Amino acid sequence: MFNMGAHIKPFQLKSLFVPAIMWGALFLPSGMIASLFAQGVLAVPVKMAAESGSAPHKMPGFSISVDEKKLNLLDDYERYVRHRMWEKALTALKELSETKSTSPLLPTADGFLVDAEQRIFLALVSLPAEGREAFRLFFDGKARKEFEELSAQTGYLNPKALKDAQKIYAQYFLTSIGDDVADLLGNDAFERGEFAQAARYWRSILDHHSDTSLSEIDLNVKYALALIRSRQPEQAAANIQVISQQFSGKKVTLGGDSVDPVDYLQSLLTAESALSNPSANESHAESNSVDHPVQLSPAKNKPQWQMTYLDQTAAQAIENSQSDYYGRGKSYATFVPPLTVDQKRAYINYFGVCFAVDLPSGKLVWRNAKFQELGTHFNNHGFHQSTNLKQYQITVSGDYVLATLIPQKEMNHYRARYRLIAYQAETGKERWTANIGNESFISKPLVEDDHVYIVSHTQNNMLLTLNSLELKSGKKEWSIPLGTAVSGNSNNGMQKMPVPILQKQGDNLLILTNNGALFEVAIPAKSINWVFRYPYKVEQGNENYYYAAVDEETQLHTDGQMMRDRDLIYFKEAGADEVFALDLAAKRVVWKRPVKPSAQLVGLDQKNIYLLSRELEALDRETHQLNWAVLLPVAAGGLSALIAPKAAWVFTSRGIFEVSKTNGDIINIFRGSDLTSLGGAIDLQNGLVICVSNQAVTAYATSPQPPRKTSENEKTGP
Amino acid sequence: MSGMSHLIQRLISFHLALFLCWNANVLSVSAGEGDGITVVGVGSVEGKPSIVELTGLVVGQGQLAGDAVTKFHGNRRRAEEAFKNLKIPGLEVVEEGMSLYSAMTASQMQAMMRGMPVNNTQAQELSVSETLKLRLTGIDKLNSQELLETIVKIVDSGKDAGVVIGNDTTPAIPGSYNASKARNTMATFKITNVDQLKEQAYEKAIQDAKTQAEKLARLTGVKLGKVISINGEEDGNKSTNAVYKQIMAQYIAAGITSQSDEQASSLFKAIPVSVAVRVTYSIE
Repeated sequence: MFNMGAHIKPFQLKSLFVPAIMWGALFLPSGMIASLFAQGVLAVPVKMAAESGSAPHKMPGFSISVDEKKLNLLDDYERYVRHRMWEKALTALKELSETKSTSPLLPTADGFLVDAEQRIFLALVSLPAEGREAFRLFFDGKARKEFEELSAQTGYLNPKALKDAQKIYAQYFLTSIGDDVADLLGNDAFERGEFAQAARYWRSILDHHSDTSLSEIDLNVKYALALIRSRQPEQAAANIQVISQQFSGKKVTLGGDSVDPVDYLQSLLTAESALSNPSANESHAESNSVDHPVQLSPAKNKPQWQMTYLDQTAAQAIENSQSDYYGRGKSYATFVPPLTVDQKRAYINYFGVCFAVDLPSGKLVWRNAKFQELGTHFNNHGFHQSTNLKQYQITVSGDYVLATLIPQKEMNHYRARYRLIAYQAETGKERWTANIGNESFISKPLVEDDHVYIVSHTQNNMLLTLNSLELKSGKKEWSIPLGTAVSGNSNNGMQKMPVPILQKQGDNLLILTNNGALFEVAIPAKSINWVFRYPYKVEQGNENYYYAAVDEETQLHTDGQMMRDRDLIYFKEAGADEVFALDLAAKRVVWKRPVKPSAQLVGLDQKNIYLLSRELEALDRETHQLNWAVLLPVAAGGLSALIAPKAAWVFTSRGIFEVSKTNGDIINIFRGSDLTSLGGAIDLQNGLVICVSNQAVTAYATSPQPPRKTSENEKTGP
Repeated sequence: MSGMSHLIQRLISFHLALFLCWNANVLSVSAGEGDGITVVGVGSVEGKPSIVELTGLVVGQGQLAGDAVTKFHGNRRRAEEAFKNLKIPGLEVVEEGMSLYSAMTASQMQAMMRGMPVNNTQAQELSVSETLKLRLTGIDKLNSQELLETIVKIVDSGKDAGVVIGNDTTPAIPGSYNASKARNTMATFKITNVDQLKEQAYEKAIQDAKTQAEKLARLTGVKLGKVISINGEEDGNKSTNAVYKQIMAQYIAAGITSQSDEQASSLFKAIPVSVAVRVTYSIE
């Protein structure tokens, strides 16, 4: 009897399959063919082909290299496991562990790319009971011996010993000493301050070593401690609940004292949350949530102050730029500049002219250039060639205002670079300009403590790099290459680079590439935890023509956005037509659904997520159905909304619309005093509703309410 | 040779006929087709508009058909409520019918226009739309200022509610220019008692015809007899008389003729109702 070896790979099966079908179709009775399909015999290779087509590293869009040799070994291992060929499986596993990786990531079956070691570890722990038994039979003796040798020869704080212990953990975790090694490594990582890593070691014992002789309550407490210290409050809270349910009334010894673990961990969690995030009440990161109703009097349209930055010269120059081959498709007229606010001032980056406005009075505090100079910019052909409006960014942290822009003196350069410049918040004095080789900065800088995180790329190179810079000097601390973006072409054939969005949660940094990939980067380890990939279509046609229609997403300058509520993250990329809900803890897609490409995520509450384009849409977070949508006269960029308890507020070309969150009805319209504008971004700070349009920034006083945010740091802007 | 002379004779006759027609045009009269004097009388009366109509378009578009329907229902309900909440006496919303369609994207249309391959793999949005007629009666009792304020209220309310008011100025092919779409006519003014006004206009037209016929008779030294035949505007198309047709076109162009009892104009001013009659008088 013909026995097909398990070593025949899927592509070989596929190559056999196609001719077989053809010959079968010619010579076999049609009923038999149908029967084979029905039995799934012929369906198997089709399914495999489909799977390979959807492999995360092969999806259209952002490109991440994968070690193909290692991937093939992993495939072999998993196939041997499926066929219960333990000896071959374990040999493949050994080879897999010993082969040096050319790439740090390997794909999983559900659209993720994870750390290669972690992926191999996952493959190991997913062995069935029979396989585990075989594993112990093969490796227990050797593992024990290596572990004993290690403990006899050196202490565990020795770097070499640590490396050996990590090797034992990676290769022999399923043996009887696996839990001991993991605990040892967990303790060591905790002492070194690598809390997330420590949490992973202890979690692995709890999840995969049910027969461990270590105290389960101790492991749980240590795990919760590591989660708290690594600023993962949601997971920590969940673990504390597990401890309170499973070990009710039991005590543990910590620092020589016998304590109630639940009370102790709870107090630690509260303290840590307050320390790490002063706005802890705001669970919706990047969402313009307001915890009280916004009160604007429709009778009083008079603003507290207004500052106009679009002067006649610039307005005329923008008008003229419509006839520029490179400028026409960029929709300058609807551009709403990015805003960032602290307790004292609002800071705006208007096509590279950065300025600060005093919040109580509306007076211009400083600016880095004259507004009239913008006219020169717009009359400059090089400006239209180089500019990417999404790359003008601004952020504030303490006394530092960081802006990305093309300096005026470099405006004439072919494909000029976007620089990162730090200004003194109070005076506007330039502190430093980051200079990292030939890098052009492409994302909004994210500041935490003394570090600036920002993504860059070299001009004419699509490789995106995450950089960590020193806040005080702008000097590079470290960097990680992320992968290669696939740039699209604009109507005039110029490259359109994606502008990634950064968001930090605990020790991890999330990077939405706006190009088909979402990254989680572990900051302490300076490594990529995982990447979630999804297909991203990029327009790369050569259909360049002058009179091409400017599409809605360009007119509204639709940006990608991600919003997080505990472990759930909702995101939609710029130019994409799908919104995703992703469970970060379980690493799985909860749901995804189509939406219009021009829609941008602007808010989140307990019931809905909100998307804004020329209409405000409320999608149910659970069912992902459209609960309601309302057409609004939105005509410019800066897509944003204030999400109050009962209403959402949107700044449109016809004033500020108050929309009921129940059914989308328009409750009220506050016309305001920027009626000749196209509308734009809205924000709330210090009791002021701040509206940024294509021509002015206007502040309206609200009725006295408790301040929403007390942080000196930057808050979400347009 | 006889053929040539026949041709020359025919050419002369043709030019003579042309000359006579030109003369007739100037005088608004023509020679009778039978015996007698045939004249065309014109009568016109003006009526103050009593109705103003605006067109509103409610649309729901979505990647998913369910989204389009949800959006349409929401927008339709809000539009109706917005107009209702204005509490303007005499304002009614008339449904003009719903339609469903799936349109190409702007880039697809552009590509098609330029003869480039159209990528049809992109999901096309489903659209559900309905045209609403916003009809305000009794405007003849309002002065211009009051009427303007009322119309502006309706337009503003509609725009705030997401209704596209007036004719759609969106070019059929994005990026293209269409002069006919460059101006958005928001409101149409109408008179309602057209039949009554027509009667008055006929009286004037007959009187006009009689005056013209008497003038011709006096000039030619004949005595005007009784009316032999009368053709009203309805018979105009059947007539072979080019002069008559021209006059009809000239006088009626100001308004839109229809069989209904309403006549429309894009201007808020008295709307003329014009008729023309061709009357043949015998010569005694």
